[in-house]
Amino acid sequence: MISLENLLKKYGSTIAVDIESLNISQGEIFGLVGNNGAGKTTLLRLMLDLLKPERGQVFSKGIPVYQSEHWKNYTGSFIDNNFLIEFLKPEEYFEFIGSLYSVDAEELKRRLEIFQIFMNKEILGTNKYIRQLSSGNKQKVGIIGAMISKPEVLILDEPFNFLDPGSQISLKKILSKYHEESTKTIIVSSHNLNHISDLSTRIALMEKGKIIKDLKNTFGTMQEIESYFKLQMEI
Amino acid sequence: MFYKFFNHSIKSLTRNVRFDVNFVIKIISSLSIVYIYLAVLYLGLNFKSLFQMYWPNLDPVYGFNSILIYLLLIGMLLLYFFQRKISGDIIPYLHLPIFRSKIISYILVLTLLNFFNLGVILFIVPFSVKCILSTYGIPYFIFYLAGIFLMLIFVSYFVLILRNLNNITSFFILVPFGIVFLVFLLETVFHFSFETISNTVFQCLLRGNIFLILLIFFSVVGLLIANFLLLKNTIYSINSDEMDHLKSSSGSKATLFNSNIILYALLEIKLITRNKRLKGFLIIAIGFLFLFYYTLQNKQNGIYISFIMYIILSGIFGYIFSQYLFSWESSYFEFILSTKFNLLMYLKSKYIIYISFGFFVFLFYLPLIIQKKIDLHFFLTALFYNSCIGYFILFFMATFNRSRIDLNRNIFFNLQGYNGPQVIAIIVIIFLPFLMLLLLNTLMNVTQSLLIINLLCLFSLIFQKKWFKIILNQLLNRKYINLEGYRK
Repeated sequence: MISLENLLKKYGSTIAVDIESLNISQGEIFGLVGNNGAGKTTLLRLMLDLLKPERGQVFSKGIPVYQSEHWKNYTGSFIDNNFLIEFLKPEEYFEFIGSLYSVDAEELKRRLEIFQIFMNKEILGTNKYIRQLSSGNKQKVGIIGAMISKPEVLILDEPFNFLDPGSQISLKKILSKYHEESTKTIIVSSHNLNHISDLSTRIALMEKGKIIKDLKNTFGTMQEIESYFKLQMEI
Repeated sequence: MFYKFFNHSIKSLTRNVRFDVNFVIKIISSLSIVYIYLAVLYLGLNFKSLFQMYWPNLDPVYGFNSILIYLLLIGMLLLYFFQRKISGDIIPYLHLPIFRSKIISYILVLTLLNFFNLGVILFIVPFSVKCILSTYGIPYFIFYLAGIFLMLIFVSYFVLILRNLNNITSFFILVPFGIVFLVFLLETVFHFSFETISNTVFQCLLRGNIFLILLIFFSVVGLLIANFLLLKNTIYSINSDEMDHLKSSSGSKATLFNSNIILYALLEIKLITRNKRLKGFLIIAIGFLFLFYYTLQNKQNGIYISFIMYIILSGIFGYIFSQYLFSWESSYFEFILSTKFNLLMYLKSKYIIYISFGFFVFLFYLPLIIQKKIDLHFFLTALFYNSCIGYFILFFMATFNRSRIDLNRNIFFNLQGYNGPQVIAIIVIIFLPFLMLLLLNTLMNVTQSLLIINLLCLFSLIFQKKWFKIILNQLLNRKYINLEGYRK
């Protein structure tokens, strides 16, 4: 579904991403973990063609993402607040995205119902612009905006940030259900190992731009990753 | 069969995806159309008194007849470039067992039902009733009207044949320009008076010259037959673009005024009205308009200074907003580039909004124009220049803007987003037509100079698709650089 080849991205002399090869298959929940500055967000931005790599390519369904915009038809993403049109109300934002993907009003309403618990009555009908919402609610708007078009590929960067515990659990359920229902490909990065472990079918550990561990999420995977971080702390 | 065709056409128009918009917008659009046609009707009813207010010694019929030929020329250009393609309506019938001649006849009838003809009829009928019927009597009134109707049919069929020939070879796109250029050349270089010709021709109609009306009639018949034959041979080769467009139910092609453009235009309006910095600029621009309203009332400037002032005033909103273009979107540009956001439509919607602002400025200064404190020709040229050239240059230069703007910071003492290339672009845009006028004025008179500037603008407007393509390509080429700037 998504593959990377010989990918290198530098900021000045600092290497942000350096990955020789990576393949993410359809239906995988690909969890990306790593310390701050490991290159997770840069990698996701490269996947979305928002950064120009020094070398290499990102392919979506075999087509380089910089070459064609076709991937936008089936990819939803939320990296940070740069994905929000903050002067719109949440309803307007969802309607706007719906219009881009030809989702009619009725269908949009149905799709939003899935997120009712997640939104906790704090997003719709509050008559607030997105910029007036709390960080957590902005995060929720961004995540819902990314999912509203029911994309085949969903890319989320640190989706659990700013969310209260209840919302974190709710989001995990939503993502799992979303994946189970139609075997969507989900790429999600997080600092929270527990969430990644609960959610992902495959976990990659990034450090200094490189993927140093790429593991199927089975019994013991979590311990292996945790022990890596413990060792790092001791060093 | 004709009734069914017509019924389908009405449905195709009213149920068109372009009208599938917000109810309020639908109402506003409908009211605007009604308003324009009512204004034309009012003008027709009151032409005599309005004309005599400005030219008390001239006969209104004489005055109107003198400009009729220009009106028909404008009609030709408008229909050539803006009339809806009827071929789209008939494509579904091509697959059905319907005689080709019936479909063609339908096209020929529908060709006559266009916005220009309707406008002229709404003007000419009340005008003729008030000015001609009483003076010349019923037979000449009918004769005159019939002559003008035949002329309108002639123009409509002439445009139809040109457009169909243009499908065969694009050389024919030059014909309408050639005609306009020829008229201009004959008038300015050979001092050929088309006013006199126009007046003579239509006075002949008023005198009941049967040979003239027969000549027009047979010309119309000739064009009708030519169109019929041409359509018969080319009807099955209606260009594939049309077919593709029909197949796409979303109608996502970025034609001006489709519903998606309205979606983007609404986003732009919300951007302007919901953010502190943009709102501040909007208020300042309106303040400037009021300030100049009183300045222009009292002071008489030379043509060059006035021209520069009109350029600034007619483009003030466009300049203010487009000098920060794409920086306004800096806080959600990643969203724009990672979704199915149609940048071309967004650009077009911005362009339409800036032009609308220019039109608003024109309406605002209309009282001064009527009082002749502002020269209409200069002001319209300035407006036309901004719409056809100015904004495109600004849009292009905006692609080099990579500074981020916080939309909700105050505008005062706030240099965030200031961008060198765009400031330079504005200076160039303001002084370019001024220099052109200065240069042309050494070679010819002011009216001719303005006409040339307008022709250049028209030429630029015709290539607006090319402009948008260049701007979009440049924007996409610079997207990584700009995004980096926006993230800072």
